[in-house]
Amino acid sequence: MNYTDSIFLLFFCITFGAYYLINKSQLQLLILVVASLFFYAWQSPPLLAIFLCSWFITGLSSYSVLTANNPFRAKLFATSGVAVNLMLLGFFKYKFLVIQNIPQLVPQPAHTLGEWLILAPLPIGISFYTFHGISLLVDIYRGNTTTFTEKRRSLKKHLSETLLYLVFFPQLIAGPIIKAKDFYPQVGVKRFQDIDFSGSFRILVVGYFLKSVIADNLSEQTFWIAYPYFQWNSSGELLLLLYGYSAQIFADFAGYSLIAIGLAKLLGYKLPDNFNYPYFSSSISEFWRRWHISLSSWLRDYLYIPLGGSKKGETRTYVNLMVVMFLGGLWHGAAWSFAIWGLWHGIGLAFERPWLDSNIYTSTNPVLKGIRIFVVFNFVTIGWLFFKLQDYSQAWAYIGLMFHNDAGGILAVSKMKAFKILSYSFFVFSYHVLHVYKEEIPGLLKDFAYGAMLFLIVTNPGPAVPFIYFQF
Amino acid sequence: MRNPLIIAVILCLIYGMFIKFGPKPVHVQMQSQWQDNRYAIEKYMRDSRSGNQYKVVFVGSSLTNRLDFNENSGCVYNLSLGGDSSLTGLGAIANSAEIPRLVFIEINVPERSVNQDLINNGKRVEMRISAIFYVENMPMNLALGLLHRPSKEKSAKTEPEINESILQNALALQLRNYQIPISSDILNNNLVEFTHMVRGIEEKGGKVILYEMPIHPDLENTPRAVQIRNAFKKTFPNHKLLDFHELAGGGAIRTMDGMHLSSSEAINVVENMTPYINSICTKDLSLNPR
Repeated sequence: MNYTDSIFLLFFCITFGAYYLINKSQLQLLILVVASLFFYAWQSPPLLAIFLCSWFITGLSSYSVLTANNPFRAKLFATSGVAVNLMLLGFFKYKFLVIQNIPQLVPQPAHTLGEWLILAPLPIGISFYTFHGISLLVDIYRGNTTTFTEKRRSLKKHLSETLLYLVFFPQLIAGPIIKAKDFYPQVGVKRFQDIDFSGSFRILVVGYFLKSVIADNLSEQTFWIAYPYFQWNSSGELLLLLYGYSAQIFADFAGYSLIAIGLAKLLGYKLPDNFNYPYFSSSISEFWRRWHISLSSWLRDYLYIPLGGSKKGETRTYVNLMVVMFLGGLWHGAAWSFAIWGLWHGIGLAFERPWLDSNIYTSTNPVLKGIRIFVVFNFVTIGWLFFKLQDYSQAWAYIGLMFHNDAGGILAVSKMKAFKILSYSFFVFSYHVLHVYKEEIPGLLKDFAYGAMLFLIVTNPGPAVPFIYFQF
Repeated sequence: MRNPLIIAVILCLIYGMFIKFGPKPVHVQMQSQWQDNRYAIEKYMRDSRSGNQYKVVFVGSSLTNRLDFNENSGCVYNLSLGGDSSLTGLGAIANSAEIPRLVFIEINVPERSVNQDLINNGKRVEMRISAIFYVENMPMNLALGLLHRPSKEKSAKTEPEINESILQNALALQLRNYQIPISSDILNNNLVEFTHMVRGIEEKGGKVILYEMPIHPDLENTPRAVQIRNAFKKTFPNHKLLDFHELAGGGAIRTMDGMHLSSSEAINVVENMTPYINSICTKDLSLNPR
């Protein structure tokens, strides 16, 4: 079920109606959990079993940490819970990376549970719900919030709230990743009169506009980045397609995140912002503070800092950076191209680190800042190629052809193709620019902008393609 | 929240008026081959609903899409779909109010199944409410159509011409693909679907001719091409199967990438078929197309 499908609209309306008809916390929680499980099972019901196993293990181990009567036991349960979550993620996500020909090795269809587990496809959202599980275990172990310090919390309540935390449908499949310490305090009675309709409406309009009008239409243009088609484009067109993909992936993921945030807001939950106009970043480190914020802050809190962060000397800091970016890249998918993408950013972060306090980075000169933004944007855009072409040899071939592919002239670009890609990309650029001046825009003009976006959602939607991050 | 909603409604109304009374593009422009497919299906089903029934319809893949028939006559319609299949075109016919008198079915890519989403798209209710929901009236498509200068830029169906290096690369790729036959399960399932669709057309009084679009001569007798040809001959023993050379008129077959005809060759095929198509449009139906 895609957020842009009409069936999702029906599903949400029914859930929303039932949710606010009842004013009891436990019943509201039950409705959300049932709706979320239904939402999850819609695509592939058998995969729900894997999710439920993950929930049960996480719920029990986190409760054991909570009620442990000495620090050693708490650490033992927390470590075991994290390890099981990582094993589940490792097994289901990376088995195909390790053993390339699994389908040939195991008879199909599967006859035993073991064969079924080996053949099972990647469970939707596993990268996200295992990260939620780890966040829960670590936050409880660290005693990060008063919610988890109440020792009399019942197992039933803990399991049901944990189930909601892991399965909450607006963020179930592709985030934003909300930390346990930020989610649990929000569980409680929600009232219809407290809904911020206007705020939710504006977030949803921008989200659907970015996804449906920009990303989905660009997806039909950037399709030709795929092998073998890209070989038949001139260098100029290859560059244009890559810029188009850069705009598309932002619009797709930022659009999805805004829709998730808007839907959660209608249900009375606040999800963290996931994007802060990242293409206007003037350094790679700033880019990572603005792009997929919930993942970068998760990696910082639960991986980079536990590894020692920047507190254990220069060499260790660089090693930590590379390790975090490598694993962060690999988290996206079971392909070495994702690891290369992570390393690409790791190298960028390591390269700029010694200069961050120098004039080059601290100068507020608009020209210098513009150059920095341009360089960072192009650095990030080249990196997307490893995201799009998951066979890295194809990505290298693409980069090579960007410099010398004479398909009808090296710089030959179809005017119509350029018009389409640049028009849609222009909205992504405008979205970033308007943010800078948003305080100065008169109210009526803002209303007009939202009205125009709504008009384009109705008249100019692209094909309903799945969100790019759904595959992770 | 109220103001943006009102503005959106006003914009929709103004846009609807513009579509009705404003300038029209000389050539309809789409953003991609997938939108071309949507347009082909939507227009066919809309025309059928409004009583404009084509007498001759071609269903096929991007191979047939190279054939540029004069659709303005209102007699012939090219319902071929790039990256899609003859079965989807047949599905659109089955979902339309009337059946054409003659349906030409391309057999080259039988492994692709019916694309139900595309057919459902052609049945969308909102298209009956307003023309702003037609794919050709998407603001981007309308802008492309109005900006397009047909005199300076040639039609997509006649450009680009053969590029030898692209042809050799693509042909090598196709030669590898065509060494591998289609999975017999997929082929058999789709042949059942073809049989069902053909029977549906014939029961309603339509006639069917199968044809194999000319591809590069090196691919003609590869395992996959032979497998497909034989499977259709076996499944439809009583139907005319126009082969390759009949369509090409006996000339050398030139393709852009091993699969898709060069523009001159596509024109040649259309010219070969035009007298027969004209005869159907103006006279009675005959089963001998040449």
